[in-house]
Amino acid sequence: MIRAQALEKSYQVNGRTLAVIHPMDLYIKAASFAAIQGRSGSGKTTLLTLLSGLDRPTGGRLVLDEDDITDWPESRMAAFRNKKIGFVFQDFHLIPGMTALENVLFPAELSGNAHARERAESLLRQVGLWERRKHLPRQLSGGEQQRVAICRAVVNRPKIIFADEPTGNLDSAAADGVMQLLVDLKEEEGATLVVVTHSAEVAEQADRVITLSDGEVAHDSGA
Amino acid sequence: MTAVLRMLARIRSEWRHAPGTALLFFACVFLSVAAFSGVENLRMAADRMLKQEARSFIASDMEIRSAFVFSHGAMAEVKALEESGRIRTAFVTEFLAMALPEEGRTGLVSVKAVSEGYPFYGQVTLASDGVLGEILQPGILIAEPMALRRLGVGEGERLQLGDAFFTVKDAVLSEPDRPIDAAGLAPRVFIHHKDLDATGLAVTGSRVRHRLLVALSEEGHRAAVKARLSAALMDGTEELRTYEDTGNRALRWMDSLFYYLRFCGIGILVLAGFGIRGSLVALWMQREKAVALMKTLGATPLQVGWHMALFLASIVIPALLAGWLAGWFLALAMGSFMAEMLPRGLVFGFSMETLLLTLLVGGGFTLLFSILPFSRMVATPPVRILHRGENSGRAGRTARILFWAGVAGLLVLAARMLQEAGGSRVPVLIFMASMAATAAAAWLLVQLAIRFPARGARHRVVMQALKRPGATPVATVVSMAIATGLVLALVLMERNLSRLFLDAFPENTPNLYVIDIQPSQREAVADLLGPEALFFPMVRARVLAVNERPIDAAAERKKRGDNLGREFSLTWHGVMEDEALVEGESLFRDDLEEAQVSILDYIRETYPLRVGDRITFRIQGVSMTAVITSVRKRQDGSLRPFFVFNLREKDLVDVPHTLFAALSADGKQQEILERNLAEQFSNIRIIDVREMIERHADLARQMAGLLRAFSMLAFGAGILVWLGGLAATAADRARDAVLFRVVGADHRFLLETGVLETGIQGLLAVGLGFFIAEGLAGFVVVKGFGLDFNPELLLLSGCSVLALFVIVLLGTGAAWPSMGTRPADAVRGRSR
Ligand SMILES: Nc1ncnc2c1ncn2[C@@H]1O[C@H](COP(=O)(O)OP(=O)(O)OP(=O)(O)O)[C@@H](O)[C@H]1O
Ligand SMILES: [Mg+2]
Repeated sequence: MIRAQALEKSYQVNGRTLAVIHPMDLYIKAASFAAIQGRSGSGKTTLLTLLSGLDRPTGGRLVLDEDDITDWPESRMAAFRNKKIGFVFQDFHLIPGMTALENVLFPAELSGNAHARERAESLLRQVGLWERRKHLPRQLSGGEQQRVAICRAVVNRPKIIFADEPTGNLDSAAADGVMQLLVDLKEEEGATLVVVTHSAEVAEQADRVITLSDGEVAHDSGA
Repeated sequence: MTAVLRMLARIRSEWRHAPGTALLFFACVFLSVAAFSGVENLRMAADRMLKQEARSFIASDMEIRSAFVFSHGAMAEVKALEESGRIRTAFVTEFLAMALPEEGRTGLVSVKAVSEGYPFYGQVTLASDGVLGEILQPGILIAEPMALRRLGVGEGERLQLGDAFFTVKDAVLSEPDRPIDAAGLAPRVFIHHKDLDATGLAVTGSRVRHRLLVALSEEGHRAAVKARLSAALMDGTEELRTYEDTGNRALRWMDSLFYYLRFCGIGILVLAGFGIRGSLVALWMQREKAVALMKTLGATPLQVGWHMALFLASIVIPALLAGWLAGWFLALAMGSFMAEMLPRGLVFGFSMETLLLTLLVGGGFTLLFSILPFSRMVATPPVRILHRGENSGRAGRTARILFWAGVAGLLVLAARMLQEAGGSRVPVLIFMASMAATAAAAWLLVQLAIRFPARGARHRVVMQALKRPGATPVATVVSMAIATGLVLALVLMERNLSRLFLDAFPENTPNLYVIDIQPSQREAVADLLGPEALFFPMVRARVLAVNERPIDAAAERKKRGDNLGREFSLTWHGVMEDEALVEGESLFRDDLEEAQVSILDYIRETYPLRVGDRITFRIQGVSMTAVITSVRKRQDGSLRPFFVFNLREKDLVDVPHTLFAALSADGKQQEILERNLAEQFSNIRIIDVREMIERHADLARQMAGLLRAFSMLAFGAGILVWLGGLAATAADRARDAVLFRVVGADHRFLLETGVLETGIQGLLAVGLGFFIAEGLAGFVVVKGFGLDFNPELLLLSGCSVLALFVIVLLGTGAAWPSMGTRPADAVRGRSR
């Protein structure tokens, strides 16, 4: 569950204030799938970083899974992210020096998860990358890297998964595979899924589509 | 014009892209050159002075030396030469004596009686600015200010030397033939040569050095005069020295100093070389994408190389010049810091030679260590614009061959420079072998650490950090090991040497040596000194031959440490309590009729001597051969008196000898003793060994200060290497830090892994440094000072922990800023 109240973000650029997200109320139901759309520069990524607690809003409050995290210190946020949130990025962001398996293991090891290894291994099997578990990211294709990244995002059974254009760098076949995986895992874990996307096909699968324009919600299919 | 401007603009833009790394590179080049140039400038100043004023070191063109009054043959030849107008001469007689003021304190002084003409070259500086020849009339005594202070006398007062009385006048500040202030055993006083006989001190058998200074006049032909004089000398007692050999010998110990300084200089150069390599790799990592882009857009390797070379030159050339200048100032600072130990009148002028040498060596070094990273930079394939880490551009074959050839050449050069500085080959080889061993050990340890299967997130992060492209754990460990090794060695050496001083004077160790007691005076002196005093007979002798093979005294004296060419004091004293036999069953053998001698083991380091060998001594013109029956070893490094050659009484008893007494006395008791002795026996001299040692300890402290400064430079170089490694990985480090934070690592985690990463390398470095320190300090203390070595394991462990702490603090601190990137930036696909 995500609840934002008057959430806003502005930047100071050359002494002028640039509002990127205007005060915005938003409620996303637990275990639902929300897609965020909008033209380039409309503030989708910014909104995602705010909702996920990666970045701090300039105003408003944010509740994630029952917890009001608005004023939490960074260390508490980090632990929260580790346990409750998973991230998938457009350009994968795997840790270059670690193998596929190590990348998936990493968040689980961070929180001292006792069954980390079995979990990571079964995830890699599930996404069909068992054979490639010992490969470094640079030895994997984009689609493969993204699947590893998805395993990493869900290894700790997060409550919410955020994805910023997860298929933006992939061809349509690979993109379909990745989206299917995300949706399947979301269903399996009963997690909330928030995806920023340009793709109409992806948006079609969502329970709800929120369209941004100039930092404001222009259209919301779930409202 | 526009081409130049465009070039400058390019250089500027490169600087803008990686200012930190460029600065680091600058610092490495600068530091290496500064240390090197510092040592070279100092050496050059000393060298130049030596060459220019060599003649003043003996105040003449050549001199005849003898422990006895000059022979008739020599004097006749000198007279003949003088009368023919070819030479001028002056007499100088030097000896130790007790000076007795009317009031004040009796004390040992080093008397120099000089006749008119002295010095032919160089100058004796007097406090009054007067000329020595005018002021030093018979009956006058001119002393060093220190002598006056100690004796408690002032100008116009009277002072007794032996049987003669003098009036103190003026004060002497420097003399040409004693260029180093700290060299003397006792403070100097000058008297006129005509007063020598009146003192009654320069009698045969006492420790006197007679010098006959010879100055060539216009007609004097150098080689001819030398040949004629040499031919006239009495073998074995009289010796002809020219300024060339004496000048160098006078400053012999400076050779050792420069040897060690050069050692340090080269060490720093090597460390900085690692830093140069590291910072260039960093630069390459940072500029790789830009280079790949240039290539993608069609730039040829030549253009890329030219571009990068220009940029590097814009750093290297100013760094070389600045380093040279800094070295010059460093030399100046060292010069004033060590004024007491260095020859007076060093001039640190501009020297084209050091400038060229510095530019050549520093530039060559930089070039050498740049070859590989530079070649890799130029070889960057354009595909690197897309991904990194893969097929990381390998340096070309030519570059690799050039590099290793350069390294080999460097080793040869370093070995030659060290040898030229007077060292033997062995320490150089040991040094290089230990460098290689350190590198190998570091490599092995790092490999082990990396191969270790990772357990847990922290461990995994540290492992991948060590394996990161651009990370240089081996170079870091080696350089930090050498750097900490040097610093720790210094701690150890200081401890051991100061212990020498403490140990040297345990309770009851004699601190006063009373020398030149005539056998007839023994009873009376013993009454004065009390029952504690130990008496030893002494016979002055030189070693003429071993097993009938003559000893080349001049060649022997060139050796470091002790040598067989000097004069020895033979004694007979039976077994000494602080000595043990290491060879032979007893000191002497009853079954042999011939003369026998027992030797101290340390002398065998300079000349191979075995039990059964026959040594021929020359004792006051008579030769005597004795067979070696045993070898003794001293039990501790204390300052009890010792004798290299101990004979049987019956072999020596007929030879004229003096006695030597050792006792301990302090304060008032010492003062009274000194006065009584000096008043009753004018020929007897008292040496306060403790005071002498304290003066030497002072010098040692100055030396230590200098070495400390240099090891700090080395430590700085080590840190630079570390920073180079950090700079090379800064970008990747920042990117990874962000990723870790996105998946939920907090600052603490990053801090912990940072500490772990530096900690592992630091631990390896300090561990190796520990062994380097023990080895180095042990070598210097045992070989250099001939002392027992205490490894001080506990102290050194403590210091190592401290060093590790410093390293971790510095390393983590330096890596920290790159971890501060905010996680939100990761989402935007950039890590900065
Ligand atoms: N650090 C910043 N400082 C100033 N302006 C910023 C900053 N970050 C983002 N912006 C601005 O905020 C606006 C929204 O950016 P955002 O990245 O959220 O867009 P987006 O909808 O994700 O676009 P795209 O579809 O191209 O990824 C843009 O106009 C951008 O220029
Ligand atoms: Mg975006």
